[in-house]
Amino acid sequence: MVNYRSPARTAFVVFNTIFLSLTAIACIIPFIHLLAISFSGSSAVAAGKVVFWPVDLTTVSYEFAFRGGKFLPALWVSIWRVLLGVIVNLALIVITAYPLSKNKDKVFGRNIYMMYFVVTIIINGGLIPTYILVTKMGLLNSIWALILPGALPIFSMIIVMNFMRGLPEEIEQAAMIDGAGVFDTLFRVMLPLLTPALATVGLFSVVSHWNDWFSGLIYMQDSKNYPLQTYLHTLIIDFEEVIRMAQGDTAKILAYMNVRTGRAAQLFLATIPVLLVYPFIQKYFTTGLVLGSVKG
Amino acid sequence: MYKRVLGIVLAIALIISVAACSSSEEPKDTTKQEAEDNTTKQGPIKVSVGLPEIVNAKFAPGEDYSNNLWTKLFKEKFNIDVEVDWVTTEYDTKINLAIASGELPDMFTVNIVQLNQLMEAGMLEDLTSSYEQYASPSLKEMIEPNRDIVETAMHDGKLMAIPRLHYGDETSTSFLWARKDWLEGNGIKEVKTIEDFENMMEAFKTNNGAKFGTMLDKTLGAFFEMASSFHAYPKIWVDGPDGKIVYGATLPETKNALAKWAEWYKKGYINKDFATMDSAAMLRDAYNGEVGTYAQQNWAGWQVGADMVKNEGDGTYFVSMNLPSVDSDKILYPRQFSNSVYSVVRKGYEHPEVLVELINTYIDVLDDSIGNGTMTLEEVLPFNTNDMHHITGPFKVEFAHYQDIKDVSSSIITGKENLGSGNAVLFYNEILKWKNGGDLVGLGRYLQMGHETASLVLGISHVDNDQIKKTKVWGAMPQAMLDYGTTLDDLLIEGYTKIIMGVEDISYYDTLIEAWRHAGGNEVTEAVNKMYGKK
Amino acid sequence: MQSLLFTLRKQWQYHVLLIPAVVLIFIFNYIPLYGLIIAFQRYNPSMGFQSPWVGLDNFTRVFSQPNFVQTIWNTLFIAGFQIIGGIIVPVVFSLLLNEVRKVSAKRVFQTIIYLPYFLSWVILAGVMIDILSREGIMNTFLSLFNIGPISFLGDPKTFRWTMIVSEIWKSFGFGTVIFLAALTSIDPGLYESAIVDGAKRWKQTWYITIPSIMPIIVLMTILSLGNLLNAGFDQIYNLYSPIVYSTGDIIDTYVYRLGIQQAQYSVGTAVGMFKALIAAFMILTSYYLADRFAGYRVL
Repeated sequence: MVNYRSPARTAFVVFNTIFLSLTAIACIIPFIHLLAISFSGSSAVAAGKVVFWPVDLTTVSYEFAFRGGKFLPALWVSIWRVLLGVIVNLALIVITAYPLSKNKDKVFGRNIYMMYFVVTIIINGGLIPTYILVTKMGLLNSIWALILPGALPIFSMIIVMNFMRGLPEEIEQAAMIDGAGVFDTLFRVMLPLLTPALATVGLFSVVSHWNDWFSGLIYMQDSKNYPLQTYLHTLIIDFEEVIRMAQGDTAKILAYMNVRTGRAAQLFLATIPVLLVYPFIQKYFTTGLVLGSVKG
Repeated sequence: MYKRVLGIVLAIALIISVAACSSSEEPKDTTKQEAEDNTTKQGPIKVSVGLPEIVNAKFAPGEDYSNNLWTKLFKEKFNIDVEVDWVTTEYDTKINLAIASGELPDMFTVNIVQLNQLMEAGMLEDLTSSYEQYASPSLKEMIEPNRDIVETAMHDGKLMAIPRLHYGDETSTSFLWARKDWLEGNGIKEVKTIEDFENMMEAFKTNNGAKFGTMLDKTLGAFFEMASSFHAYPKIWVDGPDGKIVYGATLPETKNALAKWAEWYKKGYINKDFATMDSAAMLRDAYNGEVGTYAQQNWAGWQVGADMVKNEGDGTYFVSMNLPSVDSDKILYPRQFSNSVYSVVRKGYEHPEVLVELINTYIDVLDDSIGNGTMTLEEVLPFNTNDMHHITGPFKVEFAHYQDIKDVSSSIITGKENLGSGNAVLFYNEILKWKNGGDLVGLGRYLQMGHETASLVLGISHVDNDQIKKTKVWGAMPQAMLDYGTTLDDLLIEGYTKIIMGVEDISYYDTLIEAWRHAGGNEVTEAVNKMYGKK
Repeated sequence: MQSLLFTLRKQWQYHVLLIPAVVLIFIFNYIPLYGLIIAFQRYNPSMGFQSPWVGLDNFTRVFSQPNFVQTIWNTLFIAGFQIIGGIIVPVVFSLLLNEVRKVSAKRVFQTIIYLPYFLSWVILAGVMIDILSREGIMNTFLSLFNIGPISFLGDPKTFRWTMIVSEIWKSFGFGTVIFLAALTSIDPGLYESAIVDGAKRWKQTWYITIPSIMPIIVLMTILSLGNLLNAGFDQIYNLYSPIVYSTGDIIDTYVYRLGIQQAQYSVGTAVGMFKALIAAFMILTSYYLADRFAGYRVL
């Protein structure tokens, strides 16, 4: 195929390369712009002088984020939450997907269990009843309020379940013949084989825990317990609310605000962990997703 | 068979869930328990509060919302431990959620909608006797003249909340603010008519290089502040032509005002992007010297005062003037029912009197202590600077400053010091910092009460000249109005924005009002007339 | 009965493994269902779920609001175009990308277009507010071509397209990777025999490539139907303002404003329930269609 090259083909290749490159640029330009703003002086930003390169280079915004603000505490809440959340998610996914990957002859009531889980995708109690439940359980302001309500991501569980079904049955049978029990088979034999699937759903969990701002907003009454994204949300959106609360002295607050650079710095810092993690898991991601979606 | 197994599974689940509920910690219950123990032992009284976060509050090192000069004072004076359950920027949302779940702090503040909901639901402690027994003479002096406000905090003849009260009428009026150096440069002394105003905008554009005529943000704040110029009252309830109470927005004056603003937009007097700009974005144009006038309330000097000087240099700050008038008729200023915050105690809390005692203390420190010699100015100052007077949450009232403003402004202008209250002393000293030392800290206050046409000085004259027009819904809101919340106003603001931007012709105004009526405006109007109309 | 006990004894380990998930799901997903009854009550927090019954009042109240119908339409409009674009754009890109022969270039490109998918709407909203404002770089760029300035977030007519395009921009990388995986799994033998037959590139694409990935295209389309009422709360809540309510307000943001910010708990729950019912119907339909036409059983 490579040696077959008509002029039309060459034209296409050139066009294609340019087009794809432009698209790629369109995907990262906003972040480069953000980076430039975060390192620029606030007056240069206000005057619209900053495009892709910092003007009046300064690291003030970053110093502020690390020293004074609520950025670091919120970052710790987020890191802690991702760690706990992913461990809980993966543990539940593995132990739940395994029995469900068997058919109903092997696991009595398998289809009923399945229905029991799947129904929750379709109906839920809504925000207020769930909030009341979490409150009555005393989970308000606790990190568990961010983890337990979504402890078993059903879709991820289905992916892993399908992945398990795609594995050759002989492996499991061999283990059973060697006298291994159900638990042994799962944790000693199956678990190592699940790496691509678990990397996939693990990445999903990392990203969804890291990105979720809404449950932090609802379940963390005290803003010092906010995870990072919730804090960033208040930074971007709720300025007006803050103003309203302060009533008479509205004006004073406004006078102090020149937040664009500070905001850019904190937004950029919040994307770094994602930037670091996802290229590495990406290779598992594709295989895991494809395998998981193929019905065994 | 299936059913039975499922039944067993569910039963197990239920047992575990119940166990999980009872074993999980419930902080509220333990505090309650301890509080009960404490009362029998006469130990410290504990009170938990939820607080809105005050963004600019600057605490002394090592201090925070639950440990600061106020909480130390409360502890020392009454042996009361104020425990902060939570501090948040999304206060209303959090309170709404807390109300829904019934898990409330001991003391907290609410808005009128939440107050009515809580009273209706019977979730508040009766404060009648606590108020009668414990309110200090100063607090009673402030509350008594405001019977109409107190009415809104009553349920079945019982006092269920302490209203925060309000700054006085003199703080409710609007002004035209304009850049001092540009005014002087163009020799403009007064802006009497809308035409004068337009001439001023043109002058700023041609002589001072302004890019826009005036400022507006997405809340249409400046439009509403300036509505009085057109004798329009789009945000209050007024007597209609047929004697019934109507919403000011439905009257032709509002339409006229909109038509004018649409014209200004078309002429390029307003930033094309205003509909997405919050007030911070709007003010950026002023800080960059691109616009020199806007309508705003008395505190605008804090917005376009110190920061203007920092950005654009000396003399660039805005000063206040009376609003221009579309004709020569006297301008009236709309007055909303102004008590927006109430302090309440949750039902079942053992020491409701704590609320009253701590509010007493608040008044005493800020207003009485200098006068009666219990504290010096230096001692009081920390309680009132760095927003420390805003962090006490429910333990707070707003002062009416009518007399203070008169005292401060005449003292500054005549140079003869004559100050009656602690607050007046504070203001006076702030202004002196600007006047004598050029310290920008005092500029905002100076623009409010430090010269002849300072905003609040004009505000006093508005009160003295009977220029205050009170809304007809003066007191509790009818249920229908509570139910619709802000949805009806949102509808109007959206429509006004379209008209101003020229997306819709001015004739769209009639369509808009019709839509408003159907969306619930009629229902609310009826309810208002039933409650406040002539019988 | 005897035999059931025997089976259970033999399989008890499997059932033990399921207990934690069954319990958690019961607590956090099934117990709150009981709370849905407040949709039929005038909810009074001190009475809790024993609040007075009002029948369907909350529903009729919402339906009589003119903006509610508009809200449903907005939801369908935005979600509909997001779904269509969310299929077409990744298909096109995966085909183009498939033509790139250099593996390293392919990998770099994939990694880059994939990036926005992993960032939260909070962050992307912050970025968008900055670049799409009237003085932002987007309008600066357009002014080079004498276009605009366009008020991307502040004009009701533009706003929904901004929402549609930005959602596609955020997630097309994800779809591209999936379709690309499907493309690489096409049997190379098919192409070889086509070349022998003298078929040109575009003919190969038309007659081999597209038909080969058609099943997965159909499948992705059908499965997206379940999202027709989800126009993206995170995205819109972080980007909208009252001026664009008329075209940008969707069911989820409406529910949140009503139910939480305005504390109309019962009405908010009623709207949520209405949406859930329709969504349930659409999800089940999509699952059925997926099984029927793509031979894919989700469950």
